[in-house]
Amino acid sequence: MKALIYKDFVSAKSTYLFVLVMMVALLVYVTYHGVMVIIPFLFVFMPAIINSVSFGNEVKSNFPKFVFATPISRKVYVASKYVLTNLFATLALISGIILFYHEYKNWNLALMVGAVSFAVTIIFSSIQIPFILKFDEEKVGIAIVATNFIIFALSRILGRLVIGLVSLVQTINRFHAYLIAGVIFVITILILTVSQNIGVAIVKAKEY
Amino acid sequence: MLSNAIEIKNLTKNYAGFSLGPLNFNVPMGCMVGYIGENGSGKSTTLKAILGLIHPDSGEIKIFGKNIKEHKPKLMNRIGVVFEDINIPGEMKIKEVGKFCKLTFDTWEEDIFNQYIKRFKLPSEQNVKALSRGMKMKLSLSIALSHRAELLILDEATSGLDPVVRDEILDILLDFLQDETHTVLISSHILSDLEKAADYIAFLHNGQILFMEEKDMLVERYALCSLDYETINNLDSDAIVGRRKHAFGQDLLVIRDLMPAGIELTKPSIEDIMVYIIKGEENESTNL
Repeated sequence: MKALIYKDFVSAKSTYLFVLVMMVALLVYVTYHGVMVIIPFLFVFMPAIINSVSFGNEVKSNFPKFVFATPISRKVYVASKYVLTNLFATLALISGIILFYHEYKNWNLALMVGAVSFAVTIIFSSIQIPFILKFDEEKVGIAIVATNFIIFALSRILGRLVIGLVSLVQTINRFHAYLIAGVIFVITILILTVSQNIGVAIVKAKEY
Repeated sequence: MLSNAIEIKNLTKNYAGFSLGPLNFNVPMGCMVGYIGENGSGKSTTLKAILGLIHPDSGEIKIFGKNIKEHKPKLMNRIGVVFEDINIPGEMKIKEVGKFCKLTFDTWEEDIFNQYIKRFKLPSEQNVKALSRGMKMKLSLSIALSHRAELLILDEATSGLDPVVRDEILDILLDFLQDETHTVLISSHILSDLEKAADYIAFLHNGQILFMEEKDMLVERYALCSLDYETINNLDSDAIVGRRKHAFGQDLLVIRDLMPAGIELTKPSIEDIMVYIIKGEENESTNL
């Protein structure tokens, strides 16, 4: 697992640098304009961008053929693809809770925003990764574009969901807020597990 | 004690327009087996099946007595693999590849890897994409030899390399075989390389193993001769394996033991044997 994360990092250094610069620029921008509450949502699209680049590099070099002739199993390979997503989702969760609580002094709202940012980050990658794993070299470019399109289309629906949640949290007590956040977490973890299992099944069925 | 590094039983794999097998052969421990055959004969498919990169339709593959399907991750520490391409992202530097391998193989020996990098004069700060084909192949070989592998599998690893680099690689393989528990299975189109180094030759044709024999026995078993039509007509037809027609008669690949005394026979190369068997088959059907 460590090896694959290391490989992803060193083989896409310029992308990581670009993402970092972009993040810093956006952070400066939102801080300057006093809209720091946008920060959790910045994390949402980052894994999708990095995943696209990472898979692109692998397809170009036919890396799976090399890696599956080493002790790394197909299961570990697929699991490694979700590590970055989980990291960004956690950042979205933490930043969502801290910034929204700091801004609105409303714990229910902060918890909901954190939970939704966490869920959306994971759901986007959970859709994207199996798609990219499924398609072969010629079609992987189309798969990346198609899944990104689906993700952006979904983001409109999810945007409405967030607005709905914000109005909902005005009317519920803390217990219900915990309950809803818990349900969001459980569903997200379920989606992540299903996505990983689909990914493993796809990679196990593939030939290299 | 195990006598075979690889055991293949009834291996089959079917694609649209091509079928491999059923294959049955073993790779004896401590030997170099040259796996030869024309393009599309199924060499790479066999090697990929051995490495678990494709799913055979049937059959069983054991490496060091263990089923590859069930024991793959652990077994891969004991197998060094060199493909025709390096298959490592071009943006990685050689030293980063070493670090990646250190995190990948339980048995990785960094010192040995660095020694090979030095020996091959590979620039460790260089990106993989900037390396020449020969350098990429040397890097692949350095990886394969740096994790205490007992079995090396090379798929067309020497193709496209100049004779000096090929010779260097063959020397390293022969060094590797000095340990009698080490084994090499190598597929190559460059049969002269195998002639120098292989102990056994396995010949794959149209998805079937035509023979697997000790190289020395093989060149002893077969012989070349050039005869006129009258002499050929008096020969035992079983003696003739392949033929080439020319204006004055035919060049024949024959089974030495079935030839009558008094006919001048010469020793064939592995390439002669392969070409005559493949071409001979075509000639039998079209010209005779």
